Amino acid sequence: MMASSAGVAGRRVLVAEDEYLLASKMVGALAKLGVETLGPVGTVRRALDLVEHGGHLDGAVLDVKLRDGVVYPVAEALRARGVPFVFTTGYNEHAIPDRYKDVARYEKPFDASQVARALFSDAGQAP
Amino acid sequence: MSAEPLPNDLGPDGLVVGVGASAGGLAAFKTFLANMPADTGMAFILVQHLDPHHRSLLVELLGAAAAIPVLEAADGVAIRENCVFVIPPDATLTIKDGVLKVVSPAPPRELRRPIDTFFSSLAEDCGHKAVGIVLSGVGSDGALGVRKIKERGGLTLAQAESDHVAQVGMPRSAADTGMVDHVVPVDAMPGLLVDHQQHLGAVAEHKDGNGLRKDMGEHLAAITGLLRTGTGHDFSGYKEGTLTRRIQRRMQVLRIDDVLGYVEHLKTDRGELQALFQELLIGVTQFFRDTDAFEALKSTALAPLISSKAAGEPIRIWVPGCATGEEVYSIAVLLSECMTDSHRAQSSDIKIFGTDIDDGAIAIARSGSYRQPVTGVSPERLERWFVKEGNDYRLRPEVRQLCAFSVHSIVKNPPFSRLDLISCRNVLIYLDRELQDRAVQTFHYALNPGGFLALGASERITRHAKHFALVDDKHRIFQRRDKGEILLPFPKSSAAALAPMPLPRPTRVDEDRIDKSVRRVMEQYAPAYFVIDRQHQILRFSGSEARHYLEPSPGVANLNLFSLLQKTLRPAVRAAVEQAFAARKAVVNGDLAIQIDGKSRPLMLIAEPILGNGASNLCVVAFRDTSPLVRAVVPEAAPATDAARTLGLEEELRATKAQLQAATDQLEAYIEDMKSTTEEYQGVTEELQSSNEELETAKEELQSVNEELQTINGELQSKNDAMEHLNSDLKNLLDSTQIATVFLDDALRIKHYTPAMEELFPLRDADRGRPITDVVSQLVYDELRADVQDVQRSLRVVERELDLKGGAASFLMRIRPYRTIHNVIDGVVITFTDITDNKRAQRTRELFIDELQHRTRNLLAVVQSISDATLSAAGSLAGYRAEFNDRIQAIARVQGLLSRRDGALTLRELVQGELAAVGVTPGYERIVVDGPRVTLPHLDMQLLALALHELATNALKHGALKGSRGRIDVRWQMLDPMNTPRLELVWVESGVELDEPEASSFGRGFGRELLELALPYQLDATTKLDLTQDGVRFSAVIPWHDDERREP
Repeated sequence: MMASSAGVAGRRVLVAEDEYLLASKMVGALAKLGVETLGPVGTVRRALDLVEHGGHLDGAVLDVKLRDGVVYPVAEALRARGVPFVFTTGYNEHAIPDRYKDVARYEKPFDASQVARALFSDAGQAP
Repeated sequence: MSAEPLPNDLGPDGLVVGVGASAGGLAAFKTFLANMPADTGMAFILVQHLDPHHRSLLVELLGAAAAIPVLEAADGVAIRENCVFVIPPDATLTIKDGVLKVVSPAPPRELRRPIDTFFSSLAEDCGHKAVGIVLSGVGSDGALGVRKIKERGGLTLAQAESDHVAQVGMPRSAADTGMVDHVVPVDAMPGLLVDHQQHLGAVAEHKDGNGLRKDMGEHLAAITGLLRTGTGHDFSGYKEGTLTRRIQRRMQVLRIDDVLGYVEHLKTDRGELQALFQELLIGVTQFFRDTDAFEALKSTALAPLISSKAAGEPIRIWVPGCATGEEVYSIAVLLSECMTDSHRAQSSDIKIFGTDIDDGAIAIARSGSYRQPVTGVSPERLERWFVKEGNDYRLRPEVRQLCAFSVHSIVKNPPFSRLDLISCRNVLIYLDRELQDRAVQTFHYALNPGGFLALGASERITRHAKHFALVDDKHRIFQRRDKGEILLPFPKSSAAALAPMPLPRPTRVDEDRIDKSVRRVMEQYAPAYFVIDRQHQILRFSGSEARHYLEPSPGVANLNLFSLLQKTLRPAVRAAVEQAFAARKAVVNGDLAIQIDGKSRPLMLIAEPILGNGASNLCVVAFRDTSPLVRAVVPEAAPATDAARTLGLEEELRATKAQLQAATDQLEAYIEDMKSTTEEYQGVTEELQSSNEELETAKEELQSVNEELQTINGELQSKNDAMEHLNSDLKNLLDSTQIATVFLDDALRIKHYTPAMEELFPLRDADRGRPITDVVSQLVYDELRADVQDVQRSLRVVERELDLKGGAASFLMRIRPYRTIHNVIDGVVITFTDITDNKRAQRTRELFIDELQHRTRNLLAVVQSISDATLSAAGSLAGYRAEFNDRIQAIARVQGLLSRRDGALTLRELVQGELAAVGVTPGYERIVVDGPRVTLPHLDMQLLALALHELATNALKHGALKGSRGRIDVRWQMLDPMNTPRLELVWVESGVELDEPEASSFGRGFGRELLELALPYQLDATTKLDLTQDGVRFSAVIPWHDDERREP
């Protein structure tokens, strides 16, 4: 079920996306829902930094491939904290490791607002 | 001779070459093929002696050596030019109408003459286009075949050992028939064939429909004239066709195209005259050849013969020079028919002897088996007297058993005897006058009085008219005259048998001189005696006194008592000796008289056997002179009275009668003895003859077995050579292949492995025979045993990808069953293919595809964002379209530059590309582009290009490029390249006539966002954008991290 915009307003979401144009669009889409964006960041290093030191997080939109590598360490850190996340990626499904098979995956080009809404639906929940 | 075209692809002059070979023939035939041009238009058929139980490798072996196709002959296959057909094992090969006939199985060994059989059919089928070649081999197969080919006008060759001397064995046997045209080495044969074919082509135009030269007739008289003067034989009566054909053949052999030229050659070359003569003598043997003559023989000789003989009385017939036996069997059939006609039971005492000097021919005759069609035999006779056996007709046993065949020469060997008929047709013509005379004398001796002699049509024996009476002039049948001197038929050589017998050696006795003297004196008074044995041979003489009783018979000297004794004494002594031997006691006869020195003296005869050891084999015969003992003077005997004289005479007569009776009895006994001895000898002779036949057969069989073994040996030798090559190839293949391969037996023991295996298993040569499971593998793999068992059970191939321990390399392992050539599973073969590189390449490819996917999707997402951004900034749809297109083109341009393969993209190219897109070409004086060469391997060039695009577009629309005085300076440099390298890029416009600065597209538009936000975000750049009155000033400092790679 799609979460209502009222239910998600005020939540904090990490956006990790190395492409500026896509990041800004995602941020825009989240802002429309009233969601506060943490980031955006284009590197794994900065994303991890935000996860650890950026305060409370309600979710994350993670591009699988960032400028300095794959985003999985960030995903692990989020899992460890029980923070739900979705992947956005240009890669095919088989490029994603098995342990993230149940993570919702949005293939580029995607509709940013749909991703933003889906983040808090059941499908977007981290296990 | 077949004149119509054959149903095959042979040209009108295409030769059909039959090649017969046996032991050693394979190599010879290879040589032959190697020297044979590939396009002669000839067809070749190889007949080799093969073991019927052994698959022949000939086709493979020859195929590898020949330039033309080599095929195994199959039934019903038409021969083809430039093709070799090879006889299959256990088969009889013949040819008919250009089509091969193969009949299996082959006849039993003793009857098997495959070369003769094929050559005969070849001669029938191809006539003058047939060629028969006899190559190396043991025995005489082929000898009859070349005769047939020559009879039909074909060419015959035999393999030479050296210099026109035929090789021992088959070539020699063939050459000895005199029917071989050329005896040459194998490598010279192809040339001869080609020449021969050309000659045939050259003379073809002179021939009529029957293959006879039209221009021959006018020269025939000249040629027969030359023959008459040269050889003494007149052939003018011969059929013109036959003559022409035979002369043509000689011309073929000599390759003389012109008849006149040949006549000239005949005149100058005596050898050729002989050769032509021999050619003309070639007989055609067939059943009932010259039917009239046989009918005449039947009515004139055979019928009277049978009626004159009582049942059981023997009839003996001899056919010298019988060749392959047709004439013998013809006579046997005639005789059998006569017997039937006269309602007489078949007599076992009929014997027809067929002899010839050619043992090959005799072997055929003995078999009594003839290939169909059996020419000359009427269908009724064929039905009545022959049995069909496969392709052959065999004489029925009742006819066959009348005939006996043996190798025999009428001039060299002693003849048969007590014959009733001799049929000797066209044999004398081969002999010179002296031999002819001897042969006729032999016949005279051999025949019974009244016996018949049948000769060939051109043979005459006028010089022997006193011995033979002419019975039928036309068919040359004679009858032996009873009178006339008895001719001694013994050949000259047998005179050597009468060598002198060795004389007994005189015994030396050492005697005392007195003894000797006394004996001399006493001898005068003692009775003279002889010691004889049972055969009446004298063993001891008493001394000189004995001489009175001796009177040697004239003739050959011997020691028989009855040859030496005075004739008057012989009867009395014979009677006494016989009586003494019979009674085994002394016999005394006192009533003898002997004439000595003209005076009659009374004599007493004593015959006493010497008894010792029970048997009396010796006898003493002593004569005592009973006249008064008056030394030196013998008084005249008183005249007896008449009565006393009569009495004496009667007494003497009685004694004489008794002696006569004894002599007669003995004579009879001798005659009886002689008779039984003769019979015994006859029996022995016949026995010997039949064992000889058996031995001949056995010899034939052994010979052909030997042939076959030699052939097989030759084949195996060749095969072995080929195997050695293969083996060598295989070894090289195994050594050079990079594919690690190991051969295991059923127990996983290592049979063989390639060197590449050593990388996977530390194998050494000593490991052969050890189970592979004993060797520690370098592979991460434990299921080898299970996998091998799986393969052995299911016979399917098992494949696995395996890694080397440590992961340095990967291998694709395939286990497949090891199938022997006979399709028996004998272990497994395991191959390991190194797929490390493949795997790596595949991995790279997968990554590449993923990356491509990623980038494409990213690009699409960027395009989508640009579209959104452009749309939100555009005033109208037209404005949106123009700007969006420009931006997409900028992206497209950078994609185009990126896809270039010739080196890295430079910053200058990127800048100039964007300027060119707005119409600024290099050399445009108001534009300065300046900076060191900087390649752009690491940067997000797409974003940089978009930024430059925004700057250039703005310059065109609102800035330096809008007016006529504006300038643009684009410069860049590397800052602090050693420590923290950064690229500084500066874009400065000047001389811009701005109406209103706000009209620049860099309001809060997309371009400005790119320059001020996107570049810092994405490239960690520090940017500064100033919109001054003079124009746009933009600078960016971008960190130049070598380690910040875009590639994953």
